[in-house]
Amino acid sequence: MTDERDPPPPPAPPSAPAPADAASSGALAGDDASASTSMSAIEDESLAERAWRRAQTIGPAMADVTRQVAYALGPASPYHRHDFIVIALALAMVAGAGVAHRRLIAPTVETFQSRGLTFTRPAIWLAPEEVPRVAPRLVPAPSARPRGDGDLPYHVVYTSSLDPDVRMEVRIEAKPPWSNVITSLEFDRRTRWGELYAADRSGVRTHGRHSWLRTSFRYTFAPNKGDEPRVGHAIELATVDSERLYAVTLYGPPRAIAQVAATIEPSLRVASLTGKPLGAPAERLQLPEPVRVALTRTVEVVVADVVDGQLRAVGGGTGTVIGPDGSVLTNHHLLVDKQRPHAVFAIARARGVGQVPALVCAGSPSRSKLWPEMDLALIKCDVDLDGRPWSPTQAAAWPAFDRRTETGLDRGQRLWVLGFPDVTAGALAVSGGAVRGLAGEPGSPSDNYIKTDAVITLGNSGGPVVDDTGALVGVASAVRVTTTVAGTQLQSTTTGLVRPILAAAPLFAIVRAGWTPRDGHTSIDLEPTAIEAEAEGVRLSTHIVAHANGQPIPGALLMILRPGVDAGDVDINRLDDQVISWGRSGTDGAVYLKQPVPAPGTYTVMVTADGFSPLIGDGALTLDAKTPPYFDPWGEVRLGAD
Amino acid sequence: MAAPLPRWSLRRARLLVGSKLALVVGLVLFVGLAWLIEQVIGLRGPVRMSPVVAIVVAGVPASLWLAFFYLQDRYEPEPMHFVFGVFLLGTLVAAPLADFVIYQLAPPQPLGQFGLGPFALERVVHAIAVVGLAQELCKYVVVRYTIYTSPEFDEPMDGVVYMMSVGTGYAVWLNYHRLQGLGGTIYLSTGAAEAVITTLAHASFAGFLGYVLGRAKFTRRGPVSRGVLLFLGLVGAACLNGVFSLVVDWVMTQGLASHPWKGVGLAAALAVAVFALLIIFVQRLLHDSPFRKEGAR
Repeated sequence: MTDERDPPPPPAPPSAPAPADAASSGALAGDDASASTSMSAIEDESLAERAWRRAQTIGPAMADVTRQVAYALGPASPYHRHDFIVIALALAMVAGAGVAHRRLIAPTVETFQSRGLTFTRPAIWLAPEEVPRVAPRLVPAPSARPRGDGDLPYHVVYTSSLDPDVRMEVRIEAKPPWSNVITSLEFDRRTRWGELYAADRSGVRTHGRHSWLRTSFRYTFAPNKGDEPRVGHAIELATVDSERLYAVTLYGPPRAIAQVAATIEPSLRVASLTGKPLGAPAERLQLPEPVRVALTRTVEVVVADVVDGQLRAVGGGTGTVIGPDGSVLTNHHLLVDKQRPHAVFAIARARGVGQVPALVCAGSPSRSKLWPEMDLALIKCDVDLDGRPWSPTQAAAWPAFDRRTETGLDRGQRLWVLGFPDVTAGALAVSGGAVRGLAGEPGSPSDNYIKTDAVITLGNSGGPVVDDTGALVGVASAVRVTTTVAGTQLQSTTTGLVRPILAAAPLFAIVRAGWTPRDGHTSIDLEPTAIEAEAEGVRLSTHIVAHANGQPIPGALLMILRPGVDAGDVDINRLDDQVISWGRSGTDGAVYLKQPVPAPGTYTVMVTADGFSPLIGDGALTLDAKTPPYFDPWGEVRLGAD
Repeated sequence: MAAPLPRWSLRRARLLVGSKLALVVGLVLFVGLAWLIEQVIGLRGPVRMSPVVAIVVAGVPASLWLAFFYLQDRYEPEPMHFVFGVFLLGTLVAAPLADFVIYQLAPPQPLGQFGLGPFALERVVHAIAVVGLAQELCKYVVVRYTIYTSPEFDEPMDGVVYMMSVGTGYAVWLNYHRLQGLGGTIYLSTGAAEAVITTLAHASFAGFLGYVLGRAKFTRRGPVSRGVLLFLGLVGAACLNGVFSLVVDWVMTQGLASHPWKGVGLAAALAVAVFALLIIFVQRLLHDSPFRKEGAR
């Protein structure tokens, strides 16, 4: 050991870099004359020659840098050169051990196989338990019924034997009647997890030649009753085939479920395939700006019913926002199935073309204005997705279409159909076409349609049809398939049918007057039929004429509101409570109120007529003790055009 | 102004011993103070530490230990700024680098080691060959490519001093992340005690490697022998590191219960044992130091 006491001689410093180029070195280090000669020579050379001369210096310069780096990082003396090998060997050991460790702790797997669904899963789960039904939030909870004896629905949860927070749910049920799987599943998750649910990412992946929708979302939960709520993370893998819907959902810490998903995902298989798209196609349409603006006035309408104890989306279409209060015009057939209204509807809004909409609020078809004769309906949300009272005007601005006053439409005029057709997997889409004429018979208004060659398909029902100026022309309502025989071939032509917007005038009138969804008030009739007649009072009459030409207006409705009810309080669905007397004008414009109005008193007066702006006058009628028992307070009431 | 003490004298040696004793007492007092605060304030459960408090709790024992190790090199003390610089390199370079390497080569598996026995092969491989080796390698690389090439690294004992410095710095990073981990909640007294013990342990593992490094630099044997010696030193330090983690984890969490003080006690015993072994090596190095003068003790 004594030979180790003396420190070795210090390492020699690295040699100075050799001159890169003798000529250039001479030029730099030489006397002034040679330098000036060289400089003039350099000035004479072309750009390419100069570049080549400089390029030649790169090699030696790089060699010098390499020497310097090798000295800085390398052995300080010749017998330390093995340090690199030691470090490389140690790094290799760490890497090898890392790989070995990963393999050692990789969980063992088992195969899940049931009802056409197959995948590989970690073998760390406890025995599956049946998932209890979750009571729907938007409708009264149905009485708890045991699951049917049938094979479906199959809904079980596996809990990790290592971490009880990590769970895997497998849900297999009959294919939903509505093919928009994206919004169906979103509706399921939203109604199950309530307001503290947020979807993070959603995308389509292919496993075994089959498309799977992968959705990451967060939700809140309390592990036990009374616990502080925690934020949970989940990944849902879902698909449909021709018969069933399959969903495998992983719950737990993000890293843990990502790891489990990495095991499960590549092995997912279903028995049969389907051609329905699960993802929204990326659309790049050149739209006129007014049409693009009209997209913001288009919403998706989802209808849901209680199916096997759960609230499930069973259909959907499109809606047209026609009131800043959130009033939405849509088709009657969307809300009613075999003369029975669906349990609830939910409204979803999208940000733009190709975007899948987000659910916003809900309501009930039985609290909507239904007009089966014209296949139209007026709906408005009154609850949030947890079933609590909710007002559309509190939540956000609802840009609305104005009523179109112009009636002329030319054959060949371009139209745009906006909506959420099934073929786009629930994404907002636009199809263009032209007016091909009018359908229907004179005197049968319910058969009046605008015919168009723009594509209208399932899911477009109730959606707006606009022209190039963005004006609302009508509501996409139906398609007509015409089959013709040409020689030995059958040819079928599909024509889109659009309900003209003028047909929806009574619904616009309701929106202008104001309305609140109420059970049982589904009629579009404005007459306040259930008014109790006052015993004493003044009987009123007057004439209602057009302001423009003084012509009488038949069918106008004149209403006297109760004291204390002013213009801001008017609600068409509460007319029974708000109107004290009313009458409808005859062909000569004369109107006689049905109920006497008590005197003395000051009242707000409201007059509406189809095609005219409604007139609401706060305190427009004052009666006192000297007012005669039959009285015309105004002589005539003039209404301006709409 | 008093006359400066001769560099090597009996009086200086006594002063050194006294200083070291004071530092050890300081470490004990640090843990005692944390315990006292816990008792006085009435902290019955874990507390949430702010980053500043966590830095203090991790930094105080590291500073005391650093001073203690510095005083070991009594014949030719290293420049203070070099020792402190290497300490900072341990905190800011070696530790993040090791974390990066470990994360890349063996990313944490959330359910990976649940349900395994305390000394299952999976745990042993991870503790020794992945974490232990990567940590010691990063400490080694930091010293090897900085101070090692300096003329100040002029005797085998310097390997121990600088490696202990980098180990102490490394422990600051570890302790800070431990105190900030677990949702930011930890028992104050056991947290302080663990910081003291972890610092000693990591400094001792690194010191063991430093002993080998110092020997390797100044040996006259061939490059192959030198490489083998260094590699064995790395593996030895990694084994000490890994076994320490395994045993402490085993004692601390037996069954479903957690016994932090048992873990601290065993960790202290292990760390002191390794340190005692290291002190024997250090004595040999000091005895063989080229700067030692006859009669100096």
